[in-house]
Amino acid sequence: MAEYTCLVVEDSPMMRQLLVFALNRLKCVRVVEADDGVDGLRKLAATKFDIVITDINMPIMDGLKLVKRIRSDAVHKDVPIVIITTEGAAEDRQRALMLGANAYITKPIQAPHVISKVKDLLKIE
Amino acid sequence: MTTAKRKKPKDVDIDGQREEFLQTFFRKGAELTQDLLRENERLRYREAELSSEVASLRRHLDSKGHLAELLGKLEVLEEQRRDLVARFEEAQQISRRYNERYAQIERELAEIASLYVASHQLHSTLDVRNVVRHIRELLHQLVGAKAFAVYLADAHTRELGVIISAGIDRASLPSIAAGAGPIGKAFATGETYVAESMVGPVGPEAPLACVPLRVDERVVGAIAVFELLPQKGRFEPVDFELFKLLGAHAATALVGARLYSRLAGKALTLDEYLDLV
Repeated sequence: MAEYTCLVVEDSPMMRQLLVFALNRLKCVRVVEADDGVDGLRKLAATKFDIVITDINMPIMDGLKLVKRIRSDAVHKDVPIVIITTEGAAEDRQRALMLGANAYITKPIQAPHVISKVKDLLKIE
Repeated sequence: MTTAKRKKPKDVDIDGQREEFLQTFFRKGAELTQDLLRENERLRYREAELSSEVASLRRHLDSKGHLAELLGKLEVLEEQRRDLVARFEEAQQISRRYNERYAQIERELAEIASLYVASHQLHSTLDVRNVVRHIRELLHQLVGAKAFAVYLADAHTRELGVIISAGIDRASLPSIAAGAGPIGKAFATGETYVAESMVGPVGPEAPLACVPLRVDERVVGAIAVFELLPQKGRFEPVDFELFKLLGAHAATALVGARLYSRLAGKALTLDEYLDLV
């Protein structure tokens, strides 16, 4: 029985699938997928999430805008947010953290690293 | 009379002597009694002393026995402690081995997941643009390649031309003849090339890895990785598995999508499928 619900916002189907695979290792986490920021907001409006993992570079609405919108949302303003960045995008990463993201993962993503970050933020033993 | 007179002082002397003797006797007897009493007292005192000493010695002996017993117990406890420490260390080793094995299984699962996702994505579409996008993503996101190119060979000239590139200007990547340089050799021999050093000049002359692309068993092109992402210092074992997968599936997916595009989205009838079989 899943105790936590995680929203994965990622435009690349491959990266999304990899993230879902990694998160499915945590049996207590149910994963919902969104393929860009707008889709993410739509899903956030429909469900209460315990954690959000979002890519930075996405079409339509990027990760930075999404982080900003989540932090101004009454329901999800305190939800932990993990951003996915590339090593070279230090500026984006810094901006996302300033906007209220809690942690970041750099590509290429490592499943154990994703699991560890989510466990830390959700305080899963 | 004279004799009696003479005897009288003699009797007086005897009486005196007797009296003196008796007095002496009694005095000596009293002295002896006193001495005996004193000796008796002394012996009693000594006896008491000796009794005390005996009691003390007995206590000492008892305490010595107790000490020996305690030492024996201590030895047993020390033995138990050593045994517990040894068992604890053994348990720690088992736990460490278990954790290492668990981490290894997690890594292997993550690698298998990466391979599954790569394979699934390559064959999840028959649209050429999507296949190209997936090959790019796979090399960039999973392998961690910053600059790379995918070459396909011209069927007639066997010259390799770039069809996909990332992180490097396509115009700087000339066509390569079969057998020329690491890329041409990987194509000609069908063997994967990996550079000994991951640092050095970036370009078609010095790729970090070249992977031959196959359709069935025929080599039709090659992937060349020129530069890795900064956080990726070297290729990992899973990267070689990804190379194998790309070598076997990337070209097949491309060719399949290219052939499908000729149908212009036209669905085949059952008879047409049967004709293909």
